Parts: sequence; structure tokens; C-alpha cells
Amino acid sequence: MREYWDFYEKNRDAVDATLRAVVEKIPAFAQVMRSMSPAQLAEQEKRGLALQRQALVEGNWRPYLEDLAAQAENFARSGIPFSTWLPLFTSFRVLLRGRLFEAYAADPARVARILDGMNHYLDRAVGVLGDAYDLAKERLIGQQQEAIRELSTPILQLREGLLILPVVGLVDTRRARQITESLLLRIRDRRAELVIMDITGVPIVDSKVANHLAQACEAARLMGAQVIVTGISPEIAQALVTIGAEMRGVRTLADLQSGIEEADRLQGFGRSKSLAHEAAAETA
Amino acid sequence: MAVTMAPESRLPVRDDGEIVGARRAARALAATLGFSETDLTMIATAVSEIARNMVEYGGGGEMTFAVIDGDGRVPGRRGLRITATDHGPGIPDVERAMQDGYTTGRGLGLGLPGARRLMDEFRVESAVGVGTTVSMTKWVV
Ligand SMILES: Nc1ncnc2c1ncn2[C@@H]1O[C@H](COP(=O)(O)OP(=O)(O)O)[C@@H](O)[C@H]1O
Ligand SMILES: [Mg+2]
Repeated sequence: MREYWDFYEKNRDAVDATLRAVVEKIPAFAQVMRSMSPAQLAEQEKRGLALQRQALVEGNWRPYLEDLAAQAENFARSGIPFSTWLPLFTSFRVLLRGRLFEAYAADPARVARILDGMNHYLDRAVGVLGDAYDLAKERLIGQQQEAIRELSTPILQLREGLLILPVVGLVDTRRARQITESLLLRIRDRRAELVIMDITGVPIVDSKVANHLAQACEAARLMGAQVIVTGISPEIAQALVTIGAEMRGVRTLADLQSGIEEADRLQGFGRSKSLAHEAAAETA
Repeated sequence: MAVTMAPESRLPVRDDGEIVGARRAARALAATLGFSETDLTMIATAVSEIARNMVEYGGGGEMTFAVIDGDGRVPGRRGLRITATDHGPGIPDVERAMQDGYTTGRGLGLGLPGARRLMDEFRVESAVGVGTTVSMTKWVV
């Protein structure tokens, strides 16, 4: 590795100049290069070189590979396909090999060692690059799924004045805001006095989620609607009590059925006309 | 003292999606150790708190999950150790940050103290300008 590095160092200026010419011919790369200032480019190059040295000379690969992976992810995110990289690696290989044969024609053993070093280095780099692209793709898919879920916060009206809001999946700040917003709009449009927020589909309620949910309930209360939160499993309840985020001031009930029964009572529905009664009759 | 560790898994935690990933990984690994459903939820909740802090305050970081066999005092006792490391601004006053209700953000200030109560062992090491490491362990009773 060391021998390869020394050889690369010696030929770096010439190799880099040629590679730059290759990069400029690939539109996607050229665009990224243009989006960076010369100072930024120089800085990145310097850092990349130092990390590369650390990897090849000291055998400490991790910082270099991590840096490479981070850069690759950025490239992947800006929509530069993986295949774009390949001519770059090929040019590098061909160029360095040519210079190597020229320099050490009389010492084939040395040429072989340096070639091995180069190939080892390039293989690792390409491997990391490929992995980073896979990861970026996975993330993109995850984000799209998230976006789809976000668009589907159904708020159903069970009867006059009663809304039901099933919350499913991840409740981050953005989604909590969106849930609250659509909830408040619905409360106004439907003149709801009661909302059942069912969180059976929320796998984990940590302090932040609890806080978001409590705030949504508080906002609803300010609009004149009472919120009942249902679907907190015994395990989640215990975890919430342990961390101390019990959502005080929020009425909670074990499951949706109890929530509907409570709604019947609060809205003054008799047993025969009650939704709880109907639901029970249906399942019987 | 025989502390042997199975190969650990390591995950980056840089955004909400990866917080979910960390939570799932912890839960899945913990489930193989035979934790109760309540313990699994406690572990996932603690991971969620600490992972969120890493993303919100630590500029993102990394979590490792390791199975521990034997804790020295109780041979053969198994546990799950979670280590969260970031290279963010660090916490100037850890003792204060560990108090219920203390927050420099808009949270409830219950993440660190809550996670400590959810787990059996809990340690925060932090240096300003260097970063923060939280390590926490739950033992299978
Ligand atoms: N990884 C971290 N890096 C820097 N500061 C942190 C980190 N984790 C926690 N803190 C600090 O500790 C405080 C308390 O954290 P926590 O108990 O989780 O409450 P909250 O997240 O609601 O603020 C945070 O407001 C923040 O100032
Ligand atoms: Mg927190």
C-alpha cells in the first residue's frame, strides 16, 4: 500500500489534471463542481488527500471510507447515477498503470506490487461507493413512504359532533403539526364537540410524541372540543409513567371501544341508540 | 470476570427515519434475549429518547447494540448494552441535564432522566466541543 501511495503522490498532479478533464466531460459531475467555490473544492481535496494518506500509509481506513460514503450519498441524492463513477475509476486505473509501466519497466515485481495496491484501494473505494448508493436509495424510499402516510390522516365523523382520528406510524414534529392542523380544521368544519384520537397504530410514545399529542389535545380544547386518547397499550402506559410524561390533563382510555362508550355517555346517547351498542350488536 | 460480547451492530442516527431504525434494531435484538413485552417497550422508548437527543442536539451520531453475557457479579446474566455517541457540542452541565424538566430546546426535559429510569444502568459522558456518549444497559431478569 505504501509503495502505491508513494507512486501516486509522485504522479498526483498529472493524474489529477487528467481526471479533472474527465470529470468536466461528465455533465452531472461538472454541475456539482461548478456549484462549489474554488476554495471549497481545494478544501475538500486537501481533506480527502489527508484521509487517503491515513488509510493507505497508516492503514486507518475508516475515516477515509466514511468520508467517501458521505460524499457518495450526496451525489446519489443529487441524482447522479452510480454508473457515472465508472469512467472515472477506469481513467484513473489506465492512467496510473501507463505511468507505472513507464517508470519501472525494468522492475516487474515492483510494478505488480504497486498494481495490487492500487487495485486493493480502488476495490474498497468502489465497494463503499456502491453501499452508499444502496443506502441513499433505501432512505429515499423510506421518505416517500413517509410522505404517503403523511398525506393520509383520515378523520372520520362517527356521528353529529363526534370525530375519530386514527394516528398511525411515526409522529415527528412535522407530522404532529399536520395532524393538529387537520384536526382543528375538521373540528371547525364539523362543529365537533368530541374527538377520539386512537393511537393504537403508534408503536412507541416517547416524551416528544407524548408532548405533541398533548399539545394537539390542548389546541382542540381551545376550539371547544374535548379529546379522548385511546389505544395506549399497557406497556406504553408503563413506559410513559416511568419517564414522567403521562400527558396529564388528557383523558385516556384503553381502547377504541371504551372511547366510543365514553362518547355515548358524554353526548347523552341512550343504550339503544348508542354507537357502542350497535358495534357490539354487529360483532355478536 | 467473564464478559463476552456477541458481535455488535452499529447504526447511524441522523434523522427521524434512522431514529425509527435504531428503535427497531434495539427491539429486535432485545427480543432475541427474552425480555418481557414491557421491557422491550421500555428499551425502545429509551433508545428513542437518546436517539432524538443525538439528532436534535448532537448533530447526529451513531448507536451500537451489543449483547452482554455476564456482568461480573452475576455470571451468565445477559443484557443489552446500547451506546450512543455523537460529536456535537456536548453538554456543559450533565447533572443539570439529567434533572426532570430541564431542557434547552422545546422538549419536556424528560428524555435523559426518563431513559435513566427505563434502563438498569445509565451513564452520560460529555465534553463541551467534543461530543456526548450515553451508554445504557438493561438486564434480562
Ligand atoms: N446528545 C446531546 N448533545 C448535546 N446536548 C444534549 C444531548 N442530549 C441532551 N442534551 C441536552 O440535555 C437537555 C435535556 O435533554 P432531555 O432530558 O432529553 O430533554 P429535552 O430533549 O426535552 O430537552 C437538552 O435540552 C440538551 O440541552
Ligand atoms: Mg430529549
